[in-house]
Amino acid sequence: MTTTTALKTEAIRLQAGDKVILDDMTLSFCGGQFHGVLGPNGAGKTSLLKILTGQRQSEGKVIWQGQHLNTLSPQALARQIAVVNQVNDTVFALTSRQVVTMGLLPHKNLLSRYTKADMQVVDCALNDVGLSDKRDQFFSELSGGEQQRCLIARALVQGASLLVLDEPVNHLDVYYQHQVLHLLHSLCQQHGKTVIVSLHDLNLAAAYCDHVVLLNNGKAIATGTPEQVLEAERLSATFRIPCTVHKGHSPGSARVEFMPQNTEHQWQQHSGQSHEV
Amino acid sequence: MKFKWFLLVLLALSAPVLSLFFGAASLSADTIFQCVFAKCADPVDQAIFMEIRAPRVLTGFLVGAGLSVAGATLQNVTRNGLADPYLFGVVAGAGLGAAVAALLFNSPAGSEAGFPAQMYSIALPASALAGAVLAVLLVQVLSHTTFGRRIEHMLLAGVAVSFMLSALSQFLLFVGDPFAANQVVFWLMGSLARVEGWYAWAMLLIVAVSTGVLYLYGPQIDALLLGDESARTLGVNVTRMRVLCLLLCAALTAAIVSYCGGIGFVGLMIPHIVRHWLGVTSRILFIGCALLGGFFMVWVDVFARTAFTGREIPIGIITSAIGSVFFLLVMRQRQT
Repeated sequence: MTTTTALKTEAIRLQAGDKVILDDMTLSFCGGQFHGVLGPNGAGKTSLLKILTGQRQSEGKVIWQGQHLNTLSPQALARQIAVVNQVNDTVFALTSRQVVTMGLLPHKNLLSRYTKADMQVVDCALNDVGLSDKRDQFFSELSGGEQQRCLIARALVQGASLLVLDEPVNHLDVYYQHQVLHLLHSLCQQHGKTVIVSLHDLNLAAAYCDHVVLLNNGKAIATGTPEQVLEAERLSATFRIPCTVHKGHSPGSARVEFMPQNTEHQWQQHSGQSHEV
Repeated sequence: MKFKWFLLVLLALSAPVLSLFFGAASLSADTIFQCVFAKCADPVDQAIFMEIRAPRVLTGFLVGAGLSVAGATLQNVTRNGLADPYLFGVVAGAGLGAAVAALLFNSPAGSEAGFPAQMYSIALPASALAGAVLAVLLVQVLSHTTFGRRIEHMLLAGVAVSFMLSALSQFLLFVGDPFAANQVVFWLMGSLARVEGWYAWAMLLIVAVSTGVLYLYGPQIDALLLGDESARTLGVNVTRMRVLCLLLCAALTAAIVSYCGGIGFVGLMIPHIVRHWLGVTSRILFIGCALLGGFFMVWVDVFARTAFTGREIPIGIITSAIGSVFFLLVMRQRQT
């Protein structure tokens, strides 16, 4: 497994009006690893992912494999970084195969044709994510988990070495959550891809991620392995609910248990307060 | 799929050939064959065929193809199945231009002011084209400066500009000469009766170039179907591509409307049929729309000029009638 830094940020800062969304964030992400970005709502997870993938501009630097992200053309960027955003709606009836074929776009110019070899790459990616039997089914008729896997297949076809997914297991049931994260984890292990995902479920992060970044109020308050970052006191302060963390001896064994004291007094006390227990 | 394409190509190729036999003057198969491959024996037949019927059939095909391709493009680019080439104020702008031309060049007040009536046949399409271009520019400026760059804002700006320019042209017609107003109203109903040879060739160039460019950009337009953000992550310059598509569609529609008047529903109905028949991806859609749109308009024009002896039905009336019934049937089918 590669352990050299593939992607790093240097003092990135994002401000919208008077509100600071991300502040002085310096991070590094090793190649070939599964990275999780954690934090409560409004912590800046989506903004960070958009900056990491060049979708949003900010102060500071984002350096991908030694190159400043701003120096890459949109097409060159798309060949190296594949993104699966939260919202992917289709109005018209695209099939899964047509959606996955879009992943070839960064490798084509205006006069290029889609060859049989291209279609073999598409079918291979659909097979990798277990959707080969649904290649002619409409994307909008797939289940949430299947849609995610279809978009991951598109990212595979893109041939990018970095995959960035914004809350890929949102709205999925437990089975599909594990299915999607297992697939992403295997991409790191078997294909050497670097994967960065934002997650709300800390236990899923503990189970699948090699490295996590915990955000709060636009700042990275902790980075490291899940066992290093997921500490009870830190999580209670960040998420404003008391919790306990059970840690085993093996990697991926940390389990977080929140203990909400659901009294009217407690919620009133916490609502409107910024991140204090 | 191959059978569907074969059928579509067959329909599209047969329509212009068969439609040459229909018209006010009857031309036999021998005469038409002679006119196509050599020279007509009768100079009258030669004039009817080469200067009236053939340009009109060719233009009909190109108008149908152009409006359908523009509709399909706008629908895919805006991810809105109800987007129409006329949504960006093109018809309203052309209508205003036509109203101005009619009031200046075809009314007693205009003649007194020194606008020659013999220039009216040139002034009408020129003024309509200027009005259409003005409308498109106005929509672009408004959507980029006042509203923002989102596609919904562009659609809203189009609707606002359409109503604004329609109100202005209706006011001009209300205060102007009744005869001129009457002519503009008929022009707005749409017709291929005024078509001349040079216009058919100009249309061929405009439709071929626009469709060709849009075809090349097909996969990039497809990327937009999953949203702007998704397209950007695939390396598409969304803003640049959308403006290019809108300008091509506007040029295509303005060129058609300025000479042929308002022909509604074609750009809405034909892409709808092709999308369900052949698929949603842009390259397939554009070629399918060009073929089916051309086929449709050729036969609508045949009906327009042969349904009543001695007078033509404006084709805008026919396309709107067919379009409205078509959409009612589609709605009914979806409910059952």
